[in-house]
Amino acid sequence: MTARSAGALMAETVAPAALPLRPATRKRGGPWLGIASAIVYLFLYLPLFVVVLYSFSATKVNAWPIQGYTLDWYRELMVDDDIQESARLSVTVGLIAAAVAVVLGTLAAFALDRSTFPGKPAFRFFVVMPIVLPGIVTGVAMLSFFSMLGWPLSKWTIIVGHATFCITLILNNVVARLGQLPRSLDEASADLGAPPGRTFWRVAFPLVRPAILAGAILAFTLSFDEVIVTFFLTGRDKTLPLLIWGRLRQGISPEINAAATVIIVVSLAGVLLSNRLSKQTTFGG
Amino acid sequence: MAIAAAVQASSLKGAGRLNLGPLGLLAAPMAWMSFFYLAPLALLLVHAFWSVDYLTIDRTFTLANIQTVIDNPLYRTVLVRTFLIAAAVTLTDIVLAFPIAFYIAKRVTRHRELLLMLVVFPLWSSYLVRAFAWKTILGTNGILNSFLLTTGIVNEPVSAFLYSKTGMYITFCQVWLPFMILPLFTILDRMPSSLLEAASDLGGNWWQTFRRIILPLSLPGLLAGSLSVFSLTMGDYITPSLIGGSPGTELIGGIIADQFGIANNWPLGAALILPVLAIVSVFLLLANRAGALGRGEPG
Amino acid sequence: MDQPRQNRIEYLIDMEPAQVMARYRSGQVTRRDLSKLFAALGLTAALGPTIGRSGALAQSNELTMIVWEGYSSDSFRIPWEETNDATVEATFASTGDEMFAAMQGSGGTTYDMVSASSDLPQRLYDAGLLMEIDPTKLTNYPDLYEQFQKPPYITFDEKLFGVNFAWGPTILLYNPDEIAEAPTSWNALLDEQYSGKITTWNYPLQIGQYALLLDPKPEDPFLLDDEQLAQVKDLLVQQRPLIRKYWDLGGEVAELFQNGEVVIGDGWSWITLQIQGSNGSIAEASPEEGVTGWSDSWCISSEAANPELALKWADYMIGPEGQMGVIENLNYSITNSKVVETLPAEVREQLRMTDVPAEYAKIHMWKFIPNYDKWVQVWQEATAS
Repeated sequence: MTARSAGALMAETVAPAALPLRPATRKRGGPWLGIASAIVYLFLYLPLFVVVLYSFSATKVNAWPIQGYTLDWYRELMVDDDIQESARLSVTVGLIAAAVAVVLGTLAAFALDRSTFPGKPAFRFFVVMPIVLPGIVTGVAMLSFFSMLGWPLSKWTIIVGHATFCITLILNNVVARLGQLPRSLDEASADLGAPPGRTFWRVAFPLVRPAILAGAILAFTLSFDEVIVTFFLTGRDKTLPLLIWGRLRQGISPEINAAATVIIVVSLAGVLLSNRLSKQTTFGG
Repeated sequence: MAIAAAVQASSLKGAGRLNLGPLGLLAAPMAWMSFFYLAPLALLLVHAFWSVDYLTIDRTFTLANIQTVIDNPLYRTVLVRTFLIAAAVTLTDIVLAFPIAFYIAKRVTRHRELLLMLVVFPLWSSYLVRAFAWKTILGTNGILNSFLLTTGIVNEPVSAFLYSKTGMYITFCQVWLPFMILPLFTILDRMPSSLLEAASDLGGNWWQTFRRIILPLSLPGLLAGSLSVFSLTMGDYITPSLIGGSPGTELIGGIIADQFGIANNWPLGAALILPVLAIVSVFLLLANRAGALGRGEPG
Repeated sequence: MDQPRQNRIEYLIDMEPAQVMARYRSGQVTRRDLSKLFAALGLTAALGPTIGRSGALAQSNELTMIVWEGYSSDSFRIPWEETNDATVEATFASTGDEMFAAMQGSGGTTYDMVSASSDLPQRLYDAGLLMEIDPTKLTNYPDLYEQFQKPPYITFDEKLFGVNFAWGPTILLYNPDEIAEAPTSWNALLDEQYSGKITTWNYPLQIGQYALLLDPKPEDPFLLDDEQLAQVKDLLVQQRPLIRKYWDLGGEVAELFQNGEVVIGDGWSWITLQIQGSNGSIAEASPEEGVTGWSDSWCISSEAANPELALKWADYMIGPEGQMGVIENLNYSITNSKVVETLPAEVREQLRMTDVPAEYAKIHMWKFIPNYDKWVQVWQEATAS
């Protein structure tokens, strides 16, 4: 849930980052601004440091100071079937949900960008809801709905839940990108005699593709870490966050720190990839 | 070919106020959203007017649950408590976000994207584990207490950091902080530097520039950020479960989750969601008004 | 990757079983290692296939259950999985309410079995979620003490709906390093001297435990009228400022004691074993007012995918290996008379099984509470507001 809103807002910033950078002006204020920023960064990263540090701690209980160091938790992680299976499930769910969201979100984005109709602002408002309303609302709403329909809870209900909030993410991302594209491109292409389908594939689509991809990566990452909506929509399948949640409630679980560190490292790769892709947009449009 | 129509329509843009060209594209997404989101949401809200009778849901219309939510001091107390904590977290995050957002927006050229990425990156690690890490930091024998003891700031470990509202407050501030930094950065980024320079040229000092110019102009960004932080806090039950758990730390998210899990009283849970929805909707409307949501779209 | 593991197993084989189990509990020995060890020791009939395999075969022979922590411990689960060519998927619940919600929410399709304590089966039965059990299909059934064969909490309409396999009290736990003399009353959980270092289970059923402190003591702490409920609520409100944290899962209690966050609380003997296994300091006390307790039965969902398999598990759990597993992993009392009789006297005394019917009768067992939503309300108002 937490990451979902991140995505919506990330979409807001992907676009500006894609714009050519304005020259910044030196402001007064001395070094204090930089120092204050550094402190805030530290605050942001404090738990991450703790997680990575304790993944090497030799004691089972998260006591301080650390008594000894070991790689045992990573070794356990390697042979922990449950974690690996749930990680696999999380990946599957994320991929399918992101795929569904890409299709539906892109369609909706094009429709929103290229048409005007009464009630459009209202629609735009509604479309933001899955991201903005608390995850618990989405979760229990869908639960009661599926229950009424008599649909059994399974990984498919999880996928439906995730896809629903992912659509908004892709939509925001693509609409933002489309908003930057000059209409003249399509007109120019049509003037040059290209059939409409060609114009779409050769002109509009390649230009939004990075935004779609960036959005898809975002959607996947959010789905991967989602716990609240998933909690209400799962049958017996455990995604990785649900498994972690189960173990955390039991208290002592140092292996989880190792799992989280691995997630951090993998996410780093994902973020770099997303960053690389959004860089491409500076050369597009 | 709906897409052909889209391109055609786009070149005719501006010809009339009504442009229905690519609306066909909306069909599939609308169908999905209506069926899988709007319908469930409506159903949930209707549940608030039903009641539970031992094991089954009684579908006769009743205002009993709404009455319970209003009358029972427990729910009021918890709602107010959640609201206050959400407000405190929001204000704190605004204070914490400004330095970074301003720094990246106005002070750096080259490493902008890197610094932005550093802001967002913590969100890419498991929220659960980060919240759990705060236990290690805030515990009676944890890192923070260790630090306070060795530096002599306190003589005895402070147990009030963990399993308390303070602990939840600190944890919430940290986990939601990026959601405040990002929209604030966006809005500060768009603020013309010439405006700020003009202000200082006219003789205003830093504080005046901030209060009279920066703060008001940042309002859309602040509202977008506050919306996120509020919404996230109002619906969360994970952090209260890990970092709270002592008497008087229950938040509304946990109570609602309980109704759908343990207590098996969906109608009451739905009734409890109504005030949460109301509060978040107010924020949503305010933010939308201030233009914080749409990407500069008309209306 | 295989090299070091092979050595590890050899290293484990040379150890004392108690040592192995202690290391397992502290996390130094993994589940995988344990299963390899059992295989190596020839504890399994079929030595070929690996344990815990996934895929189509496991899917068709999979048993899912929602249970209290500890009821799917490796030491007795793995041998059963081997002999029956099946896998067990267990989910831990923190309360009976959670179990009920999980069963009802999915119409009984998600979980084949549930380890229901004595307060739960009635609700499950009323919701149509239980499958009748034919005792003739349980080979170990005749060995059960008579009182566990058709107890009222799992017998409805003259038919059997559960297999009663374990029981025990909710005990008073304390840290002997911090508290020199063993407390003798539940009032210790309301004692100012432990302020800020007390924990208690976050569950409305606990009202029964605190009801034992009422004066006059109710005959049945689970049948309380409004007046008595109000009095217990007062006690709970009195206790509030002294509580460090209300615990949800047993593992949490272990963590709270070991991190020095609490020095006294309530819990189950499984938690004692956990803490001792991690070299923590813990002791149990018997309050003079008496204790509340629980009697757990394996119940089968009416929509269970594999009822025959479920019956086999239930039969195993009331058989010698299952019952011994319960004792070793959880320190709970058991229901199989033959197994009890083989135990040495000290063990029987420690586990309250010198005279099972008499000891059992001393505990105020959880039961179905007619005005349960009142209890939920009282508990929530007392603890959450």
